[in-house]
Amino acid sequence: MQDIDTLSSRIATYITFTALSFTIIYIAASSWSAEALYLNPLLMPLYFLVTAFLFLIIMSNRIPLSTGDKLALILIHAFLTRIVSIIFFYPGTSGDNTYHLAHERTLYTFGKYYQSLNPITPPEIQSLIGKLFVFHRASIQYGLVTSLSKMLYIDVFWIHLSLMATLWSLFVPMIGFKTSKILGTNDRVALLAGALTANAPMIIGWSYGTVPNSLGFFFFVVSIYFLLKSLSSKNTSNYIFLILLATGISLLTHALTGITVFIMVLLAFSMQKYYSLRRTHSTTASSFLALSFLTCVMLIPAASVLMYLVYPTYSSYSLQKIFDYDIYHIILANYADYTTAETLTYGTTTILAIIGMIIHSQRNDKKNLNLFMMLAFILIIAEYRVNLYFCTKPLFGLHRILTFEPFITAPFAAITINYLITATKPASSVSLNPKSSKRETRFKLKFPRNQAIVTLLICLGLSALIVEGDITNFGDLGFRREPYGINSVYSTEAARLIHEEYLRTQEKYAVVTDPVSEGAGMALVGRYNPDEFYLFKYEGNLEIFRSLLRDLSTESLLNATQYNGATLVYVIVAKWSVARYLGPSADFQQVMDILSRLLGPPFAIVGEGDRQVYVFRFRAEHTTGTGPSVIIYEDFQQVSLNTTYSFINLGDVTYQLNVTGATNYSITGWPTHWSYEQIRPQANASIDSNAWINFTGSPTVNYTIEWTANEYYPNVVWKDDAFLQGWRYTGRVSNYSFTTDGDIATESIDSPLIAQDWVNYERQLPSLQNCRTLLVRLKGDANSVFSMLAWQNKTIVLSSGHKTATTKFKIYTFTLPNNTTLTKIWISTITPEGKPATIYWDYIMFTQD
Amino acid sequence: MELGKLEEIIARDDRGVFTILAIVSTIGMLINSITFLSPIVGAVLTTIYFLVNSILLGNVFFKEENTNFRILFGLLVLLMIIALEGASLIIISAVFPIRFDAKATVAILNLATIAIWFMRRVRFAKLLMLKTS
Repeated sequence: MQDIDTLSSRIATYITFTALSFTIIYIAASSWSAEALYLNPLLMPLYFLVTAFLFLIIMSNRIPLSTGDKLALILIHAFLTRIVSIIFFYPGTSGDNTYHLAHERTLYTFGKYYQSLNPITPPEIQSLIGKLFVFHRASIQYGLVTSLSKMLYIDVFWIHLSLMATLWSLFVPMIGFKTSKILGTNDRVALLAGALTANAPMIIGWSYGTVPNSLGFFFFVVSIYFLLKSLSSKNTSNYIFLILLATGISLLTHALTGITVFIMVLLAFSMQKYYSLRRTHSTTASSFLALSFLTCVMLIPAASVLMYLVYPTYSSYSLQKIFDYDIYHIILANYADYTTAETLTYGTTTILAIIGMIIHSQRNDKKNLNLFMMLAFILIIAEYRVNLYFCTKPLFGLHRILTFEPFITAPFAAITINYLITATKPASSVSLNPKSSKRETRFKLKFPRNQAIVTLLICLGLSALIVEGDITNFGDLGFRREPYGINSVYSTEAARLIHEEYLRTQEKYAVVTDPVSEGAGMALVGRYNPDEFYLFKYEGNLEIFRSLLRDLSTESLLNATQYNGATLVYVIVAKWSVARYLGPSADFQQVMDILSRLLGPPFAIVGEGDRQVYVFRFRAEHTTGTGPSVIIYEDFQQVSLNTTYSFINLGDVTYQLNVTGATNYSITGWPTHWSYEQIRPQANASIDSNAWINFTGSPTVNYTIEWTANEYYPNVVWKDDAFLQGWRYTGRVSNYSFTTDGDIATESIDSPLIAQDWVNYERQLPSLQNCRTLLVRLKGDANSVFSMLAWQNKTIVLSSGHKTATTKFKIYTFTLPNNTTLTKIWISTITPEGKPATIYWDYIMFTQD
Repeated sequence: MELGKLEEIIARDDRGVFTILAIVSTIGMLINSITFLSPIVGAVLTTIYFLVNSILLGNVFFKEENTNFRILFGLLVLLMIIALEGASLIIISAVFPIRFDAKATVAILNLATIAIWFMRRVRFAKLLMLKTS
């Protein structure tokens, strides 16, 4: 009968725990949104309850569950934590996490490490050592993910998404449990250690994504277990092999974790040597251990600095840094800048562990293991402090060194927690009124036992710590980076549509895009895919993208085609990126309308909200053909000749006219949006670029007259291409010049009076209405700045702001506000640094849609 | 069948039947990646491969643990071996033109299986112990 009760209680506990876990997963899944990160208000309270329930189960002796059952529940909880995070961040955090997926995708698709497909061989991989060093980076992760993906025939994305969570949930609690057991603790302590090792607030965030550093931390905890086993087991040889395996893997996974594991192995070896030396030479043994410890502390700084021998790194150490800290920061280090909540969240485990180490060292017979763990703990703190005080350019984020700490401290924190519970003695019954015996019998009240209260409080406290750690990570990795904290599903969908188009047409392409879509695209087709090439930051993706948004000119897109020789360029623009790169006041729809004009109607519009993306297509092909005719007078005889055109980009079309056989040429009647450029070979010419070109030449010479045009804006309302009349000086400096050759106006300041001086010219406009765009083509001398203002009577309706002119002619596009009548325009040349400045104005045009 | 019983059968296998089964499962994975293209088939074959080799590895290195821990630690070491082999292949590809494709994966898995077989056959642990002592 008792067995049946036990079994039913056991089943009930499993069902309740699992049902609660599934409820939480359901809530997380059903409240997930593609448009924005959302944390359902029910989620964390429920997760808190489940976590508290787990700790109650671990600590209670009344719940009829075996140690194995409790460990199974810890594993279920660990999986629950990771599954919720996967759902919350689905399809994964942007940045490093996505780029590693992209590298895995390259390996999966092409069978090659991504750097072997790089069209430009970076200098660091030109030597064999450099190449081996670069290829080893993250190779463990890429090798494992790709192998599993090919074994299971499951897309590499799913393996990447779930690998770290699975490894962490399955093995870390188990290793925490076993580590604690090796230290000689009872089952309850070991179970607590298992739960804490998997979920300590400082490390919980590392289990959310598959990045080499996370995998490195995972192999670190594995190595610590094997080291402890080697120090305590009779089968030392077995564990030596496993330690070598774990060390090798850690070194190939991530430099920081690799070096740290190596240091721990060195420390364990030193300890063994210390114990063997101590039998004969006690003083020598202590000196040896102290020296070994110092060597271990110095290994990370040494490795950080020496790494430049194989790879261009930048780490350096200096005494100056410590002098910049106040005493408060020197003593408290990372805690100096923590809030009270952060101090409790990150410091509680450490304080409990220090107490646990003291308690355990008094009781335990496994002194060598205890000493190893204590030294490992001090070593990590020392590493952190050395880097904090002296490292001016850390190779790795300093907080990452502290991440090793909970793996060491969790078993000791569990010892203290257990001590707190067992040390609390049950309270006796207390009467409300001890004087009255009658009342005593009627109102005798039994308070809950102290132990129960302490246990409950500890369970709630531990649960709160874990939940706070989780929420902090959701904030740091997600909410604070919104809307680009996660790899948007809309960007992924856009990349998928482009990929499907490629599968249909087999036409290679390049993609210029915002950083999130860049990662999403690479994650889908791989990095350095020669046919589907997503430009990375090293290929100037962000610069080209920002230049496209800022200048609204397709010129920069031509740079995107140089890496894979594609003629087709896709542009993916996420809504948030316009606000981010053009400022919060930028009108997204207006920018999309202009891009639609420049690049054609969108290839696709995906999603809603801030993560909505527009996909455009741009073809960078050299196109030639016959253009419109212009009127020519050859020796005063009118003829009509067709022009020819050539262009790669409709924003910069060159029209040419070839004439020969006459002495006097007079040309007129070209379309308004054309801008005269030059006559080749040079001839004696008289030009008004707005209306006519007259020149004399030799009848035997073939002359080519050249115009440029921006065909995206053919409807010109008003233009000035000659700057011959109507321009009036309005200030500010006196030592200026403004000249024109009938084509280019040169506006310059020769000797500025102040650092940022300017000269300004204005021209009255014939009350232009319904103009949408102002186009200006210009160039400047080095560091020359220009600015333009368009006026409606006495009101400025458009300000270009101060812009540094390029040294080659470039068209700048400005969108005009609706329903304005333009009456005046100002053009200014500005000296940015007090040096002479010159702007060469080719034309100014106002156009309609 | 209980896990302990299954482990006992696999671990006792002196004729190498289960090692051959693991190798056959890897060949099945290769065929799956060419013909069936099925994640279900892949999952079944991977389970066979992991189960056999995890049990065998667990029995080489973690004899003193109970069945569950032995198999789980065996799986952990197996994953580490596969990861190390995969990484080695990537590093070698810096020098030699090797592709990390389905065939290479199967080669890695078989190498791991043969290595485990070798560890068992030559009583690897004892061999190491002799050398270290």
